[in-house]
Amino acid sequence: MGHNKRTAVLTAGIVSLLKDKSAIKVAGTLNADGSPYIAANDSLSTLDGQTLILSEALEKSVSNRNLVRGIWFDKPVSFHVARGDEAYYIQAKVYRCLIAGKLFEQMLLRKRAEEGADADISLVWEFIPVSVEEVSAKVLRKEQEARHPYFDRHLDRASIRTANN
Amino acid sequence: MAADRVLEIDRLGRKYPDVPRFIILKLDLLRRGARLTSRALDAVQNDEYRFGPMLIFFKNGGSKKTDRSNPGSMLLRDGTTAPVSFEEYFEDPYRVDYTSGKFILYDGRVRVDEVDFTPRPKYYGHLTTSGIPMESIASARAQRLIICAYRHCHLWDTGDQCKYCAFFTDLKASRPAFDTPLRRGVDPEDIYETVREVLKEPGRISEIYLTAGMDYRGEHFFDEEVERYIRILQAIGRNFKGRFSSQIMAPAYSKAQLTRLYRETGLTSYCPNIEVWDERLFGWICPGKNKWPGRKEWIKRTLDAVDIFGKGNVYTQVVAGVELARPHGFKTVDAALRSNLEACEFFAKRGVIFLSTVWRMNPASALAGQKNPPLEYIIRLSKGLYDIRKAYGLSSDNDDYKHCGNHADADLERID
Ligand code: SF4
Repeated sequence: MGHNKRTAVLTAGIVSLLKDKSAIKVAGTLNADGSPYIAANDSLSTLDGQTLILSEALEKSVSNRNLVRGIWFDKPVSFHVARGDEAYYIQAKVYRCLIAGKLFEQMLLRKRAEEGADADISLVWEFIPVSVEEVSAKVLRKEQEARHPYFDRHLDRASIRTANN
Repeated sequence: MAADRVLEIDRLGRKYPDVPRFIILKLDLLRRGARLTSRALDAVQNDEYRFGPMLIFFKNGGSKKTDRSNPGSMLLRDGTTAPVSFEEYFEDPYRVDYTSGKFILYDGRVRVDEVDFTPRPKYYGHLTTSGIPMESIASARAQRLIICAYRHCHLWDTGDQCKYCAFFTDLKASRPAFDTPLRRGVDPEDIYETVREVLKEPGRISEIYLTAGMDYRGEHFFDEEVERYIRILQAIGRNFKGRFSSQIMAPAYSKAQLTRLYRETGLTSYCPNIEVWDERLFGWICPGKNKWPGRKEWIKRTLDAVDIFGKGNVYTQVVAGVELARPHGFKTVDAALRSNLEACEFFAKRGVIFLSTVWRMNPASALAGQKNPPLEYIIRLSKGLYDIRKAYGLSSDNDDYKHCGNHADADLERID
C-alpha cells in the first residue's frame, strides 16, 4: 500500500462504481481498542461526486458506534469498492451525521424504493475522501512487478517456463 | 475575550479528553445562546428552515413580534441537537453567520464550526379541520414531536412556580406569534389530526412527547390532568397499531393514575422531573412541587413508576446549575456535583434514569439576573451522570440525542 498515486478526487470511474448498486462496498472503521472492524454497506454512494454518503440501518451497530467515535475523536474510516476487475481503496474523514433533512429523506426513500415501504434507516453519514487508490489485482501486480520483479513468480508457471521442460 | 473562550472549550477538551468537543460546544451553546446575523436570518426565511415566528424577548421579560422567523434547534456536524436559545437577553452569545451556502458558528471573530438547523417540518403551515395552525399544537426537533397539552401552569396562580421558570407567564406571548390568542387547553381531535399530518413526512418523527404546565386539580391531585392526558394519548394512538414511542413530562402521579395512563394508552415512558435534588433547595426553588405532592412523595411516585413502565423507562431531570443560585444555593461546584451524582446513583439503583439539562437564566423568572452555570461544572456533571448510569446498565433511549437533544449526558451514550 502507499505506492499508488493518491488523490482525494473521485474520478468519473469511481463515481460510476459508487453509484452502481451491484458493486461490492465495504466500510472499515476502528473499534474503541483500535482494532479494525469491517462491514459491507451497499448504501455507500456519492450524491455530489465529491463527498461520500452512506446510511446506517442501526443506531447500535458496531460500524455506527465506530463512526460516532470517528467524528468525535478524529478517527479515520476507509472503504473498499469493487466491481469485476475494478477496485478502489478510499480513506476518508467522517464529516457529518444527518438525522433529518433533505439528504436523510433522500437516503430513506432510496432504501424504501429498494426494500419496500416499511424499510427504515437510522441515520446518514457524510465523508470527505482524503485519498483514493486503485487497488485492482492488475494494477497492484503491475506496481509490484515494477519495483520487485522477482516476487510472486513461481517458476513453474506457464507464462514463465518454456514448453519443453 | 471571545478568542479566549474558544480556547476555553479546547482547554477543557484537553482536560476531559473523553468528552467530545461537540458535546462541550453544545453545553456552552446552551449556557450562552446564539444570535443569527442578518444574513443568517435571511437564509432561514424559507420552507427549508423557517420555524416559529420570531419574538424578541427583552431583559425585562417583555416580548415583541418581528416579521421574521427563527430556525429550529441547532444541529452540530455530529448530529448533536443543541436546543440553543436565539433570544436577545444573552449577554455573550455565539454568532451564526451565513457564507457560501453554509451556516458558520463564531465565537466573537473566531470560527468554531459549520452548523445547521432542524429542518422545518412539512406539517407547518397546515390547519386542523377546526382551523388551528398545526405548528401551534406541536413543534419538532430532529426526530421528536413536542406537543404542549395544556398551556397554563397552576403553580403560577398561587405564586408557587419553580424559581427558574418563565413558561406560560401569560398567553400574551402567543398572541403576536399566532395572531389569535392560544387557548389553554388543546382539543384531542386537533392533536390527532396534527399527528396524522406529521406522519405523512417520511422518516421525520420517531417519538411523540407531551408536556404541559402543572394542573393539580381533581379529587386526588392531578386527576383532571391525567384524564386530559389519557384522552390526548388515546387520540394520538388512533394513528398507530399498538404502543408507540412516546414520553410525557408530567408531575409525579399516584400508582393508580400511572396504571391507568399505561393501560389505557400507548405511552412508553414517563418523566416526572425532580428539578433539584437537595431537599432544602427543592423547597426553595420548587415550592409548588414541594406542595403538590411534596418532595418525599414525588420521589416515591417516581420509583413506583418503574413497576409500571419498567426499568429504564422512567426518567427524571435536574435543571443543572440552578442548585448554585444565590442566595441559598451551593457555595461550590464540588458540593453541587456531589449532590447531583448522589441523586443519579440513588435513582439508577432503582431503575430510574436521572438526566441533566442546562439552566439558562430567564429574565421573566424569579432568578432573573443570576449567572448561568460554569462550563466546566456542566462538563463534569454530564460525564459523571453518564458514568453512573452506564455502570447500572441504563440507556436513555427515550431521551437520547435523536429523541430529545436536551441532555449532553445522554448524548455521550452514542458510542456504547
Ligand atoms: S411545573 Fe414548574 S417548571 Fe413546570 S411550568 Fe410549572 S412552574 Fe414552570
